[in-house]
Amino acid sequence: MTPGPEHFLILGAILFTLGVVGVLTRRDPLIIFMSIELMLNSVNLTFVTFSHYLGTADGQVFVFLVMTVAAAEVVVGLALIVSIFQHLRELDVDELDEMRG
Amino acid sequence: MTWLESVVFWVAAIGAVAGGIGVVASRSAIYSALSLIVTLSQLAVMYLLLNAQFIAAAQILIYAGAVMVLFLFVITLLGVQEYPFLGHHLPYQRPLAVIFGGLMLLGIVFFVAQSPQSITGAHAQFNALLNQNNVAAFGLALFTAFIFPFEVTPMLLIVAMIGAVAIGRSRKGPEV
Repeated sequence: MTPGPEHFLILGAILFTLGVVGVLTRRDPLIIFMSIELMLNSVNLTFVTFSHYLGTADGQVFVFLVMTVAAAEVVVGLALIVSIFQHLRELDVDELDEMRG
Repeated sequence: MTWLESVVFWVAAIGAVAGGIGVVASRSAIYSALSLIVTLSQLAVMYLLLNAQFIAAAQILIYAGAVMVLFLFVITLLGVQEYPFLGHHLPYQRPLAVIFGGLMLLGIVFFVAQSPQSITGAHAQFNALLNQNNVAAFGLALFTAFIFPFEVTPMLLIVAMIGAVAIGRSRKGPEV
């Protein structure tokens, strides 16, 4: 079966759904973070698919910018996770329900 | 697409979905990170199939390389912990999440399958530069139409770096 645009889009949808289920079910903040990365990448695949089949480079530029933002997000997020771990000595999002420092 | 490209697509698609399931279902964070590397590499293969060579290279270098090294570094720094699946605060959290996730997937697939022509086919124009010299077309778009976002991203990176340093430093401050 020759893949067309709809196959790439459905693959992106499957990966996005897996990321959503991961965010909703897991309790380790690192795995939740990786699920968010999975969702970002599925949307990137959708962008590149449209860019290819519409014949413009705009989608690829957008993917490039999304990668930059994701890298910045990973740096800050991992610093936050390390800081929380040093503070509380455990990592479980069900326990992180207090805003008190 | 040629016959070989179809085979490559299906192999990479199965690998990507298997890696995604591994991210969600692994017991330990380190297996999740390794599964995520598999998925990101398969997505780079997808970008190559879609004639986006620059994005494929950036995907390997930035995501599968730098970002995942950072993830693995933090995972090994914090030690490997294992979590039971079910949260104890919300009952039925896992089945409800799977059910609603499946409903969302069905919705998207229905939308895509309903009108595959109107999504992409109707207004597609053939851009020779994009398909023959991808990096040139990409650079042309990045440095002309998208020059302002391109100039803003270094500032974003510097802000993120300063933020990470500010968050990561010890609470007491320098005691020299």
